[in-house]
Amino acid sequence: MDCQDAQDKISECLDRTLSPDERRELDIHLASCAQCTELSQLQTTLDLQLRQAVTAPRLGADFRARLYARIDPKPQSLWPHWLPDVVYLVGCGVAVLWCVHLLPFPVSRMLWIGSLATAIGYSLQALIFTSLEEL
Amino acid sequence: MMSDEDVQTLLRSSRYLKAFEVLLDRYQEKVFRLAFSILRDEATAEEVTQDIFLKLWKALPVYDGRASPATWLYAIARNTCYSASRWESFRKTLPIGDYEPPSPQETTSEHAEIGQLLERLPEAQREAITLFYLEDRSVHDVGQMLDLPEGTVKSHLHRARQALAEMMRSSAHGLSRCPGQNKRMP
Repeated sequence: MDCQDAQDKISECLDRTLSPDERRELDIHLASCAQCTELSQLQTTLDLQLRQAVTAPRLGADFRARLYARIDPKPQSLWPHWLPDVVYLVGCGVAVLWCVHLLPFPVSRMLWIGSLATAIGYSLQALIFTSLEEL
Repeated sequence: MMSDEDVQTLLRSSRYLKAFEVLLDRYQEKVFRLAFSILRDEATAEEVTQDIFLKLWKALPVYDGRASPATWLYAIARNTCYSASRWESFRKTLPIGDYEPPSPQETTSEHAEIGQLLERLPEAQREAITLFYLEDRSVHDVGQMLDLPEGTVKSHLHRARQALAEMMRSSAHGLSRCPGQNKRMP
């Protein structure tokens, strides 16, 4: 191993990527080369100083709170959240009244069937919405 | 803890909030350290880390799965940091009244000296060596975060060490600063 190789190996040793065999070769070279030994000591000192000086900063305790405050998990609708329900119920009511007026069946039966269809429809759409939100 | 594959599965099924939370848990500190190694100011790095995760959140629906979530996130992080760095450089050229320099941090004189030596390294070497020590001396992690092959990272580290050693030698002989090196342009 010549001095150029040794300098590369010193750096690799500090990178912690030197194999045990390469480390032994380096040690043999350092034992017989004062210049490389001096360089190795300087690099080791530098490595120690860098480890002490370059310390990992920590994120502030409120980092996530501030981030989530900037994130909108669901796009806000322009309409109030209860509006679709009201529109649905009003629409069903109008449809039932229209059917009562137009169809030749008893009013009580029409109202009963209309209410049942409205309730089933409302339950089904609520079920579908809940399933979609859980995905 | 969930893996990057789990994150990809979550993204494929459009569970963005859950995927975002997993990525935040896994990478917020690493992204912050990457930002710190590039921007060299803790407060700025934290603000930019916020911007990075905000960009990530907005981009999650268009994630195409070609790169791993980590690689993708680091690419967003690097681009955001370099943009912020350019903006900071521009801000510093503004008249003094418009720019408030960051307050100096408390450091020992030895740490301050090492910090000053690091500032004098070329950007690529400074980022690599800073990140190397921030990331518990892992060449692999530094390569992934800076999108560099491990050989290139080692080369940057080797050159940075040589330059720092040279500066320390010069410093020991009272030649640490070239004449006029720290002079500001009028």
